[in-house]
Amino acid sequence: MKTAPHQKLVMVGDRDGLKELLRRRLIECGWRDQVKLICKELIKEHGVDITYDKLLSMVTTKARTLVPDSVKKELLQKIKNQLIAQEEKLKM
Amino acid sequence: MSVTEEKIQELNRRFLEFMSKSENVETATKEIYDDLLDEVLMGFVFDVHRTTKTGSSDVEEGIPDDESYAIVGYVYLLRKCVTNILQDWMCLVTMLLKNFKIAIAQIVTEEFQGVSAFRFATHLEKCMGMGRNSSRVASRRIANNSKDLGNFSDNDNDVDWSLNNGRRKRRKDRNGMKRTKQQKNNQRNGETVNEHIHSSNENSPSNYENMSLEDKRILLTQICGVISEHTKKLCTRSMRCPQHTEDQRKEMRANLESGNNIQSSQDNLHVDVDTYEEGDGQNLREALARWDREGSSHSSPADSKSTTSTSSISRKRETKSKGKGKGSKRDRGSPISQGD
Repeated sequence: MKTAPHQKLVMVGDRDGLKELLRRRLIECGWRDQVKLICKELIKEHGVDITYDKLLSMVTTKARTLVPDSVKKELLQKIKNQLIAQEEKLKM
Repeated sequence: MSVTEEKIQELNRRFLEFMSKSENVETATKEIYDDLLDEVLMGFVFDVHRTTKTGSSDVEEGIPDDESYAIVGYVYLLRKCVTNILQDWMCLVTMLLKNFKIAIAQIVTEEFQGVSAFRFATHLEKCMGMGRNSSRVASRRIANNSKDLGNFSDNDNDVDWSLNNGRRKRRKDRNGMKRTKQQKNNQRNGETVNEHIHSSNENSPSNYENMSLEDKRILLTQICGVISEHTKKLCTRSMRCPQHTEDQRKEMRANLESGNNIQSSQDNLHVDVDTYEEGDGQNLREALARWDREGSSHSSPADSKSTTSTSSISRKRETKSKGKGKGSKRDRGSPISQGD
């Protein structure tokens, strides 16, 4: 039941577009550089042999909080609009 | 209906069912956002992890922070290098400009040594600061050097100078010819204006009296040679001079032949009267007639005396003037003194 909207967005092709938009916005606001610095610090702390999963798990929580509200709101709004647009399409 | 279409319809039905509840929409939106964010984050972290593992992070990021002191040295070295390069470049540019200037000057002096040099000189004066004065100084220096050493450039200058001098001489000659032409024109009007120029030429007719007999003969083969009554100068026109008759010319030549004898006894004042009477009779008669006319125009008592005097006096005068010959003609301006 929960997977239905995901599948619907993937099927329509909007998901890739939204992902690209988010990526671009995060690079523009400097979020990527912040994440990079955090990663480097973690690597320095835990050595070069740190695994990807461990690095990602340690970065994710902090990185999520660092996302600017404007970007988050814009993305949420766009995703919602897409879902509503698909729903209206199906109802017609 | 195919299987895929059934599945699509099933998906659409579930989607509509899910979207029917508004809170589900919100949660679904958030989930999708988190999903997307995770995916993007995974991509970024994966890039960092990979660059670190492969060792290309040092290449991409540069020197690590703990070696930041080295950066200062690098910056210093880099700055020094840049300044050195700039200085070298400036030196190179100035050197090239200097050489270019010299080359231009050489080209100008060698190639444009003639007419176009003057035109080019003004341009150089403005453009390169190579003024007329500097070029004069340079030429003076070259001349001094060449006097000592005998350079080829000086020879070139000499050639130029000699050429110029030749031109000037030619011009002078042309002017001289023009002047003689002018003289001829003036003499045609019965007036000789430029006596100085006549005197400069040795064979000119003004020097006739001092010329030798041979020169006189040669001269008389070229020109009319009749002595004018007004100016007492030789007629310098051609043998077919319209102003004088053929008889006058013959008379003049005969006079020259007879003058041979006169010249031989030039120191003696006594001249054979008969021969002279034959030679210059007509001229003398004309001259005497003019004196009489001039004398009549004067109202002095002496002149009236002379005019009213008997024919014997006039005859005396005649004989005396005949005796003096040509000299009498020259002293014609004082007839009273001759009358004594």
